[in-house]
Amino acid sequence: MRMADRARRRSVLAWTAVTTVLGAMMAVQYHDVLLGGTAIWTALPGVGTVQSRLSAVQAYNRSLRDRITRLDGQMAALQAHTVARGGEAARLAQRLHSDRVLTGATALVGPGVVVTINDGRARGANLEQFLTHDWDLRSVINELFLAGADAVAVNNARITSTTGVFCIGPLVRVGTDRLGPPFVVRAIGDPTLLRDALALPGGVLDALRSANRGLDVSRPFIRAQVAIPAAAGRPRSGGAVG
Amino acid sequence: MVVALPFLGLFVGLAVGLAVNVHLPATFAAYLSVAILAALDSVFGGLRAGLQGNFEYRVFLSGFFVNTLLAALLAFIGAVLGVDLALAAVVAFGVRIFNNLAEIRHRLLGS
Repeated sequence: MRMADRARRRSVLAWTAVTTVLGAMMAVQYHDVLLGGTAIWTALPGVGTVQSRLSAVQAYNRSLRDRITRLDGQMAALQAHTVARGGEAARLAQRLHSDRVLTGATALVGPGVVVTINDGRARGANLEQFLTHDWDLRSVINELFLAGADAVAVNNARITSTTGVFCIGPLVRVGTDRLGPPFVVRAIGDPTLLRDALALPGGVLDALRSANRGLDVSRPFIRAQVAIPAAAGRPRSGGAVG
Repeated sequence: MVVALPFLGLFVGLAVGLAVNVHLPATFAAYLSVAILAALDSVFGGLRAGLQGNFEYRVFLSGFFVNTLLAALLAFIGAVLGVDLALAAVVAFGVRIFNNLAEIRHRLLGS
């Protein structure tokens, strides 16, 4: 009788081990199927397969980014709570907040300026002249930071200390975003100072307007509420400011 | 009561797998699918043996893990050599799984 009991117990344990491993395997496979799924014989995946997988991965990345935004919001709320409670923790939280502003880890709203740069219309000869280039945007961005801007963004791409601005064909890559015209440059800071810095006669905007570029450069407009998003694709999100 | 343990294990395994969020590279995903087929085959084989009364936990355990690993390994070797052994494994294990299912059904119907 005892022997039978032991055998029974062992077989139940064996079944448990097997079903646990099988469950884990199936769950991992399910993750993979969610990401566009692979056929069993993927020795030579076709273009269609790869493309559908790519879009599935992109959708997954989008959902992760949404999650980061949501968690960042929760974190900001918790930090605001800490500040409200006062004490040493509050001081640290405030310090953290100002650091996050500097590194671009947090979205900001405040007074500032907005300037829009649009490509010119090409008239024959030199097409390149009529495109907005990386150095055009860089000159505006640098001028804004020199004038004391707290935060700068081009379209929805926040400029941080590690954001590169480069041309890729007719587009401009800002950080990880590929942007096309019109380029809306927003900056938060002392509005009149920022505006005057940009509107300086012979300054950066004048330089863009001149030289037969044909670029459509707006005046720097002062806005009471300029919204600048947090930097995307930063190395680490969360408590550590990346 | 004890019979519920394997089911609990299945759910624990699924939960862990879903929670851990492991993503296999596309090249390894194919081997995992073959491994899962082998694992399913072992499980149905085990069910069948249990119903037939000749279940042996050593055979079951070793069969499960060895078959699973060997299936994935064979598929890998096949991919390296350009011979689609994964396809062969799908057919072979598929046939076995359905045979086992048929046998289980016969046993349950008592014929």
